[in-house]
Amino acid sequence: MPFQTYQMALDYIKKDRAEKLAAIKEQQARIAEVVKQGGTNDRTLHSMNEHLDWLMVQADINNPRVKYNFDRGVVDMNKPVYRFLMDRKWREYRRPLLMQRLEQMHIFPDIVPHLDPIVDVPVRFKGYDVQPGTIVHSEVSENHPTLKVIPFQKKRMLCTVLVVDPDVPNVEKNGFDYRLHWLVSNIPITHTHTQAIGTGAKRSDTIVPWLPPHALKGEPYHRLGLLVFEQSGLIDPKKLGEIKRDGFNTRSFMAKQKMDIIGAYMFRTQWDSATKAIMQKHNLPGWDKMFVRTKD
Amino acid sequence: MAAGGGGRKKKGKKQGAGDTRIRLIKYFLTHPYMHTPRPLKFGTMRMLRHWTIHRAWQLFKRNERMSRERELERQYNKIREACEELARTDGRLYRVSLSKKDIGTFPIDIRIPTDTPGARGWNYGWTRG
Repeated sequence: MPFQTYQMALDYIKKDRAEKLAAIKEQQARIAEVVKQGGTNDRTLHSMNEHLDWLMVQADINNPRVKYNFDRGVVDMNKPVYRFLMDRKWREYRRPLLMQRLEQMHIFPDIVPHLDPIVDVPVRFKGYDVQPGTIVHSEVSENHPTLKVIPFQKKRMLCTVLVVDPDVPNVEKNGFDYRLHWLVSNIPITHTHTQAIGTGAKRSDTIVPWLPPHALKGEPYHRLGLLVFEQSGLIDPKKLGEIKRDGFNTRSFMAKQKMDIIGAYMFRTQWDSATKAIMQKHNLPGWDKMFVRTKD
Repeated sequence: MAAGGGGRKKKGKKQGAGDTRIRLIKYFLTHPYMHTPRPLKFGTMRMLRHWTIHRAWQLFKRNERMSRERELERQYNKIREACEELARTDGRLYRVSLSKKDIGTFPIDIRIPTDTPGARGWNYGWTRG
């Protein structure tokens, strides 16, 4: 038989997998016992479940078929080992890149106090992947982007997507205001159905339609933060009332609706060749204004 | 001059001063065998087989390490239990066992500690003389 060492390795891995499956059964029985007896410490149950997840991953992670599939992008998010591998791959490069952009551009603590993304949010403008932090041309960002929300745990949830511009100039107070550009709620997301907005996405409620990002002439770039929240329940758009774009406070909205922030993205916008036309088209005031540096 | 040039071609490589040595030096400078092995390039299947064997070996080493650690932990716990049992039985002997008085070097005929018990067992008839 060819590849003798490889065959021996496969046998050893198979034996280990059998051991892990037995351990999984035992752990599941233990958890059921603990749950049945009730009155438990949440921490005990949490650590027992964590150990069970670890066992389920360890059963398959030495399988060369799993590695072959994952390297080719053939991923079944129903299986815990693929979820683990996807999470690890995201945390290797794309998440640190996103965090670098968010930190350097001070998206937090400007818009929200803390940000710890646990879901992957790939955003596409006009079908093209856009790296977080890029200065997007006005024409490209005239229409809303399409995005996915990829959770790495087995869960089904309702998500809210919010786009906020924290750099709207306010000459009177010599500072900046917030402006809401987009608010979409009740987006159903599961670990298998990850398209939030775009082709193949399920029905959701657009509470505040997309406003094209615009920066006035003479101004430096505006940062735009896209935040993804996990809702605790269904949000009724009628009960929300009038949501004002100008002076939108993300923190209070988050607290009132009892939402947890789970993902983020950011991009930038500046005055370019198409901004004036877009501002005129959407009747946005300020297309005829220009900011000039004053010398005191 | 012309004759010398013609003669050189017929005789072959000149064994002049520095020629062979320089050639050898240059050869061994550019072929450091054993020091920098050629980086291997594996195809997909070859790499996958290598990965599988590596994972299985790491798993094997892990199991060995865990069993060794578990055995050590069991032995440590037994030692502790024995000391506690002694404390309950005889206070004076317990204090003697824990005392660091008169501890200097090891006796020359002490048995070197091993993982497994020795074949000879405990020598109940041992005397200092």
